[in-house]
Amino acid sequence: MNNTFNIKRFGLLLRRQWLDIGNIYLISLVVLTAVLVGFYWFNLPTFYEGIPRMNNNGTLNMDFRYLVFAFVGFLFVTIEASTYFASLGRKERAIVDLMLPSSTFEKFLSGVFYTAILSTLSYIIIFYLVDLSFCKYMESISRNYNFNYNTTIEGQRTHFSTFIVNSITMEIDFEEFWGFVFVPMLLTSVFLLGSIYFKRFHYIKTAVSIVSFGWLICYIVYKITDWMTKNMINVKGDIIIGKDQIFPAIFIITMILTFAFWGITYIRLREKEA
Amino acid sequence: MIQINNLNFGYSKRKILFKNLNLQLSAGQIYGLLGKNGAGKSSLLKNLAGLVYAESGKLSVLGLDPKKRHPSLLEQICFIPEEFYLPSVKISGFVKANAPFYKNFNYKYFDELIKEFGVPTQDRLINMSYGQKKKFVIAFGLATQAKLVIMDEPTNGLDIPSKAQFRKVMASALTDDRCIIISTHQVRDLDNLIDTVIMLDENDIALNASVEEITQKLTFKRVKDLDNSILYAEQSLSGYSAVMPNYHQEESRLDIELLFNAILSDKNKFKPYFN
Amino acid sequence: MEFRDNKAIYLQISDYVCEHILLQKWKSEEKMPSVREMAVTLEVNPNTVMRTYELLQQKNIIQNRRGVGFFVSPNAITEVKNFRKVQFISDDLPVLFRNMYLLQVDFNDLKSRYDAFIKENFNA
Repeated sequence: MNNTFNIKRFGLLLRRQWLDIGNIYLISLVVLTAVLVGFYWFNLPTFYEGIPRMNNNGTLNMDFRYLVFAFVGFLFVTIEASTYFASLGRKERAIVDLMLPSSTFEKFLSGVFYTAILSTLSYIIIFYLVDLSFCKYMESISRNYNFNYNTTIEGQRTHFSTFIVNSITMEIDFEEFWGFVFVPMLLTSVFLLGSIYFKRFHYIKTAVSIVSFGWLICYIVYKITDWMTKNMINVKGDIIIGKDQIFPAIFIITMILTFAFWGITYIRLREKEA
Repeated sequence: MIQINNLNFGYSKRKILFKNLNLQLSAGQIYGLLGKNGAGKSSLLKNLAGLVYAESGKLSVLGLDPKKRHPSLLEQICFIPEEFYLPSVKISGFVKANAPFYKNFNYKYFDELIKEFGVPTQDRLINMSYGQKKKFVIAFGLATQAKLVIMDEPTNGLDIPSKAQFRKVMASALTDDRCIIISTHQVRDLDNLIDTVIMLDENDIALNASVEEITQKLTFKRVKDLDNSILYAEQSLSGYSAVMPNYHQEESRLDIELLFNAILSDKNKFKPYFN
Repeated sequence: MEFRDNKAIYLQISDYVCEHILLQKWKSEEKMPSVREMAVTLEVNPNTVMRTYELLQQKNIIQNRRGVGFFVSPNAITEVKNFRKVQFISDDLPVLFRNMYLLQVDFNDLKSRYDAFIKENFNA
């Protein structure tokens, strides 16, 4: 049998990890849902005080959700990632995990799967579902209100009773955000490394390291993008300046950093002693 | 089965545990690993399992380097540490998740062991007593049919009937292609099981000899008075328990505890008798 | 089985086997417990039992039939008696004699005690 990677063994490992962490994982999803519902509940536009804020295209303004998406998403994926290899910090648990007949590469890949792929995906799905249900809810309660709204210059009053509430996926132009695909991967890769690098207080220590590293990374990104856009003049006057250069740069940099952090994590795992 | 050449190991530069250690272990034997606290028994076992890495030296287990942690080798190692972790699942759940990694796992044998040890099958592992957990871990480890069985203080925490069961289980677990290494302070629990005594002292192997070889060269007996031929003696109720050279081909029973103390008191005195 | 602490284990197991044969618990030509079974019963290393079996085989008390296992020899009882007699004379008698000498036990007194003991225990 191959000693580096075997698909059957990898499948067994994913299954075993699920039996080990699955319960806690599902509970964390419930907590996540509750947190998202809470944020939506307290930030929803209200109707009884008059007409809520609208977007240019006549849909209900739900802009608060971008901040919620980023903030809760950051917390969720990083917390999940920072617990994955945390058990290796305790000798008794490390022995069990290291002695399991599966290759180091498979154990590492399982970590990537659970943190970068599964938690990011499940976050997006749950966020989408919460968002969708609140949009539907808003549409349905808006029917109970009648609003008079000046629509013509002559001052004629039209009244309407149905709002269009677009879910977040309908508002985002995905074409423009592909550059950020590796951002959640990067976050999870850093915290995954933190979970194996530090023995205790993984999250805090990783967060502190991130802040210090973050400045460095921002600086590098800034320097590179600055260099790439040097001597270029913004002729289109778009809000996003030089996005044709910035997006590929963000994409490539986050991807390289992600793979670098994964590489270090793999080496740390290989060198882990118990 | 196991070949250690010039192993150097320590947790830091100042705390060196093994210095140019050499050791060979073969299948079909139960090795008793002895040593004072901190002599490095657990560390030696962990080196064999690939859980810690030596600074230098060659280490080969079943022809492979345990450091590489190849699944094909991990599958052949049953490592039972003194302190272990078990998840919050029932036995059946644990077996379902972990047994498939061992292609020789013997489910029937596992059930027999669990029954013999009297481990409750309906409780969650995390809620069991230390002794029950230990018996479960031993049963699972042996059922993997691993060729190398490493146990660190296995009788710690076992009650008196469990110790007897453990001895029976180990007696039947020794096969010609299996090598069993047991580190212990509780020598009396295991002394009839041990084939070969390995003693660690001062960064090195102080003794590595089979029980047969030891009793050929030394004799252990009660004496009334001390004389010059006695290598080491301890006061007992009726005189002394003594170790002396076996001049008359006597067939005495090895007293491991006495030998342990004797060697600790003066390692060099015994060197000429072995190797 | 309780092991005493002065005699090699493999010899104590040999005594145990011989006792079983003398008491006819294991009869001539019958199959012996396997090395593994014996090791499990006595909670000792199988290699130790193997050593005992090799010794008993040497003394013609048991026989190894290839692939089948160990069997009690046809004339095992006689062989056990011979073996034990040699052991008794070389191991036990010197201790007895030494004590008799030290404690000044009279030889005739010993004989009458011996007769009484036999009468009481074995009805002979």
